[in-house]
Amino acid sequence: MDKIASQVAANIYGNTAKIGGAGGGMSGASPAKVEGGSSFEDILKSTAENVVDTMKSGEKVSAEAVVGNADLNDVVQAVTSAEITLQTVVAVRDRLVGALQEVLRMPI
Amino acid sequence: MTNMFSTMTISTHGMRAQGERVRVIAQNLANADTAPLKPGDDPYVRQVITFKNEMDKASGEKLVQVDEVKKVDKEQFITKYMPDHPAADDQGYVKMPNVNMLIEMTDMREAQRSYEANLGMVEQSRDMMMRTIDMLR
Repeated sequence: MDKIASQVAANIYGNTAKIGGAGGGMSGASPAKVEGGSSFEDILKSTAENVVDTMKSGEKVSAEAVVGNADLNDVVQAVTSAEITLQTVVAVRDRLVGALQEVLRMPI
Repeated sequence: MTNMFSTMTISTHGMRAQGERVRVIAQNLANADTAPLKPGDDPYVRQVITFKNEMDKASGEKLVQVDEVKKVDKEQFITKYMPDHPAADDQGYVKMPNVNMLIEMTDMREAQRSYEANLGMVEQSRDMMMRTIDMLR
């Protein structure tokens, strides 16, 4: 039992270290990848892909609505989803940029 | 966030089903005076819509779908005395559709309220998501 617990703790610690490593990876050193875990980069990448998919479907349904092929309900749903996803991305980006600027302003 | 998007999908399906219901009601109302073309034929038959619950395999949500739109055969046609009509029988009576305006009107109101309820759910989940995002700012 203790062995399993320590294993889990080690995994969590490893993941945290990876995320921290990616955040500090601005100097060019990419974090070492541990098998069975996803790095911060992977999380960002998959999120970005999902976002692009949502935006694309929103655009597609809107285009179909203009031609007259799509149901109005579908258009509203797709566009609302796209809007919310975009807002999320923008908010996260602002946060990241803000953090970076905070670092840049740091007195040396 | 996935839950909120699912809420929107479910409510959108509800709205679509109610939209279909309104379409059937409009069809009944518009054809309320559609008499047969010649004697012995049946006039327009009132249609009813039924819904069913369907599991969406992709998201695992129980969505509402239109089961079928079918004709009501039980109800008797109304006969109207119109001797000059081309479809009038020997006694001068024409079979008219079994559409009752009052029933259609009640159905329409119900569909409208149900649509509004689903719309409210979409709006509410959207607002909740937006307010959560606002926390990041």
